[in-house]
Amino acid sequence: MRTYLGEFEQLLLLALVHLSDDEAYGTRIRSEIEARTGRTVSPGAIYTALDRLEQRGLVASRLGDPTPSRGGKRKRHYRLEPAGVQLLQRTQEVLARMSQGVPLARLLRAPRDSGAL
Amino acid sequence: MKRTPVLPSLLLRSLLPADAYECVAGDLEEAWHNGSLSRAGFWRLAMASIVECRRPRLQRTHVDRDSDRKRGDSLMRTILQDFSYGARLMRRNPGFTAAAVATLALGIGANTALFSILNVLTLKPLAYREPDHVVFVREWSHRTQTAGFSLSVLDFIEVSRRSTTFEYVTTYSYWSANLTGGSTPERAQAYRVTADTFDMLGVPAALGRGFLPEEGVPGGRRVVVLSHGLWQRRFGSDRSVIGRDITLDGHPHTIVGVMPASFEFPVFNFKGELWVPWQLDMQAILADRGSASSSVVVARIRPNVTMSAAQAEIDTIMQRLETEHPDTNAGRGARLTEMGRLDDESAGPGILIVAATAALVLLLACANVANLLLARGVSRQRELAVRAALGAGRVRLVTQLMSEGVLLAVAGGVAGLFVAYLALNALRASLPEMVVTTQPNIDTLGIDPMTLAYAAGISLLTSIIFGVIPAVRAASPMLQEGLKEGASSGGGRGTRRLRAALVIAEVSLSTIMLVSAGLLVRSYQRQQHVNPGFDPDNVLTMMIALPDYRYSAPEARTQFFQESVGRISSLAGVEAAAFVNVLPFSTYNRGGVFSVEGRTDVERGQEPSADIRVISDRYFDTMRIPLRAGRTFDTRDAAAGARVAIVNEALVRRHFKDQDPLGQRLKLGRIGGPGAVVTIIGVSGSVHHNQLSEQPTPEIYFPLAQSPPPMMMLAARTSTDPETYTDAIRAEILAVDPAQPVYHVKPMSRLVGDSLAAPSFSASLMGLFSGIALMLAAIGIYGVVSYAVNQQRREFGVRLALGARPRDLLTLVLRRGLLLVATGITIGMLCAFGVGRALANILYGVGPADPVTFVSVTVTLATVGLAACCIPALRASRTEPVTALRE
Repeated sequence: MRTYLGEFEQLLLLALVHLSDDEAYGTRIRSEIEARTGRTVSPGAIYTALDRLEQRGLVASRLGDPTPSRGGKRKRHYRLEPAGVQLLQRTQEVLARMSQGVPLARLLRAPRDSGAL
Repeated sequence: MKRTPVLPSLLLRSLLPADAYECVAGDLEEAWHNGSLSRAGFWRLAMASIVECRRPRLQRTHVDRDSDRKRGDSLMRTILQDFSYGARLMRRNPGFTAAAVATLALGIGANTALFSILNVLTLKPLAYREPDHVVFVREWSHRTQTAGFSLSVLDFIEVSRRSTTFEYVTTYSYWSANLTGGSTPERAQAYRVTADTFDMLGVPAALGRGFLPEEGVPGGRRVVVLSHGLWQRRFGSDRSVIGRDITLDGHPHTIVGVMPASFEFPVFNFKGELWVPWQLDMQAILADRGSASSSVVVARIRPNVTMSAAQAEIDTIMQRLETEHPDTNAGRGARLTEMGRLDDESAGPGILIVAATAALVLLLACANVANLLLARGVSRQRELAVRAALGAGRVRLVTQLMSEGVLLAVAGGVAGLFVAYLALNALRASLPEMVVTTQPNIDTLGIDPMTLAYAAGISLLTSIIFGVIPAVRAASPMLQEGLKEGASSGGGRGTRRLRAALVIAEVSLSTIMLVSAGLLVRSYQRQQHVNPGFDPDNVLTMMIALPDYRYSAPEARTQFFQESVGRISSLAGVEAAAFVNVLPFSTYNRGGVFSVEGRTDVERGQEPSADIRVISDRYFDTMRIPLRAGRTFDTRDAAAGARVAIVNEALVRRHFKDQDPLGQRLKLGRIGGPGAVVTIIGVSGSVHHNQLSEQPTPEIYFPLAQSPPPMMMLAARTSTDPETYTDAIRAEILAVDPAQPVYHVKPMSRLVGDSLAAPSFSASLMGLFSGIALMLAAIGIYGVVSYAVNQQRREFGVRLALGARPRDLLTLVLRRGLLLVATGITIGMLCAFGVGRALANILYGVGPADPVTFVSVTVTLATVGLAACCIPALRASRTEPVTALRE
């Protein structure tokens, strides 16, 4: 079992945090990510990733009622499990630790001499 | 609520597991309905979802796979894997892929374009209700066993009264109407049709209505129905035209309807721009049987009556008429022809030959791609052997190779559609005017659903043809050999023989095609060099139709034409000008029967026929038609003068073999009929009228003043480019009569050129196709020989090391390649003799076994074959023994 989260997985888990339990299904997750990051993702990608997260016990899902605007298809609602919150927190910490003291802005202004390496 | 895009939804349903489908499709539909997703977006996200859900995951375990299989989608997954593997292979070998796809695109494109043409010409039904029940009733001559196009109006009346198997019997007559009022006078293609014609066709008006029964009887209201095209052009698509009056040949007509854009009537004649009810006075016609004219009769067979039953009834009616009215009906029957099938009789074998050629090109393309795949199959033998060793079943390997073939075919098909699209666009722009104005459904020429389906069909078919052999071969049980042998060998004896057979087949197919193309091109050239009997260069032609209401008096017509021709002749730059009722190559014609006075060997009803020409004085000068004997018409031949005629050499040859025709007298029309008697005063050279490949027909010329027709064509010989004189000539005509339109303005040389459109079309298409074939064959030869050379590098190295000279290797390789070519040419030639014989009846001035064609094809193919072998042969002779042995 992997003990870290990929970038897309983090985005998904964070989206679940932003959305209430009732809103946390495919379309809303997709628009949440799109609105905040400008990234368009396919529903297929979202479900495959969420499916994997569910297998790892990081999220849980339940089926909603059929909706006419979805052609009578049911929604699948997701919510974060405690394990998911923990792993998300740990991943963020790791990232934060790695970025500590990294002067990105300065690096951008004065690129390192590539010949020196 | 907007409808969800059907196709992507279907794809989602069939390609995703049920639970994933519900979520993904639900999301997409929700986004679609709340408007945040465009159609393109829907497609993109659906496809991305399929890829995402289907992509094999690294972390998936065998257990996952098993559970997938239990869900029953393992076959789908396998196929998808095969396809994605194939796609990766295609990307990795861009050279191979480009060669194969381009080859297929040419083959599929040529076939698709041709299918679209054939579809319009023969397959597509006419846009009427149940078009297979709409028939022409055509006059049939028992004596000559031939069918005309029209029927006597007398017979039309009788058939419509007596028949029970027809729902409607209608008829129409051609009318060239002068449409005045508004800016410029215009000539419109009009038809007088019986009032129930639109009901018979089962096409209602798009705007307003068709005709009422009371409008179709003598004295009925003058009404008119417009075509969509005329309504758009002349009335700016104004929906309020209904009820308005327009002036046709001086009479006001009320517009009662506008037909839909797709409506075309009649077909195989100039398409109508407007229709008026034909107010036939049946009583008057039946009372004066002798002077009845002919018209085209179109009928609808009742829904549950068969064609043969209707024909049987027509036969009975016509037989009864023969006994009731022997004077008018002796020897006359009638034939039914389904309207859409009329063209089948006249459609030359040309288009079928072209279609067969296109099929051959496709076959050649398949052979080439098969060859490419075989060659690659050899180099992939090791990969396949490894897979087989690791447990891949034979079926599994074949499906994998086949799906690679399908991928190639799909890519080739898409590219081929593009090729077809370009070809059809080019074709549409260069269609002869005659085709545009008469061919039904021609507006629909292009890529339509039928054509798309056809292209998809042949793409799949080709993938099977070129994919099966290499796939089965490559996956054969001898695979284990692939593991044992060194990498550079391979390509067993069987594969090599198969590839040699493919090359021989390619060469012989190209031989056949080159020979056919050569014969057609030479036949076309011969036709181009036929002397038409006149000089078509620097002559401008146009048509003028005088309306009856102002020109009912013959003197008025003579006056108009003579004054116009006088004014036009005096224009600067016009060398000579004349009027004639029917110009050569104008696609019109007029004929009549006659008899030579004093001869008794011809019975009434058996009189010979001739084409009838009415000309103004300087016609022979203007056209540069030579006068062989006697004199031309001049001022002596006025309306009141003695009736005279000039005949052409073809008529003299047929009827005055060893007699001086000058001074002989011809009785026009039936023996004992009311026709005039004319004296022959001159003999002219013969003129080709319809086709340069046909013999000139007998013609009789009459002077304008003695029988002036209402419709004439102008020929004006100019000193420079004739088309620059159009406006000046039109102005002179308008000066004589400001309400008189001229139309069909064209240089004479274009009329002659248009008549060659069919042979030039088949010759150039065949030329193009056989060029492609030659190229494909050359590639095939090169591929096989150069592959063989590569395989034998080691052998060549040994030979060189043992003392062979490079030249020996060169000849060795050349000999082997040329043997293939020679075998192919021989087989091809034998077949080409047969094909040539099939072509014989569309060839002109060239025999089916034309030696020039056969010899030049042999030389061409041999040269190309030699060139294709040369490069690999040279490479063989330059083999470095050491490197070759070290490999």
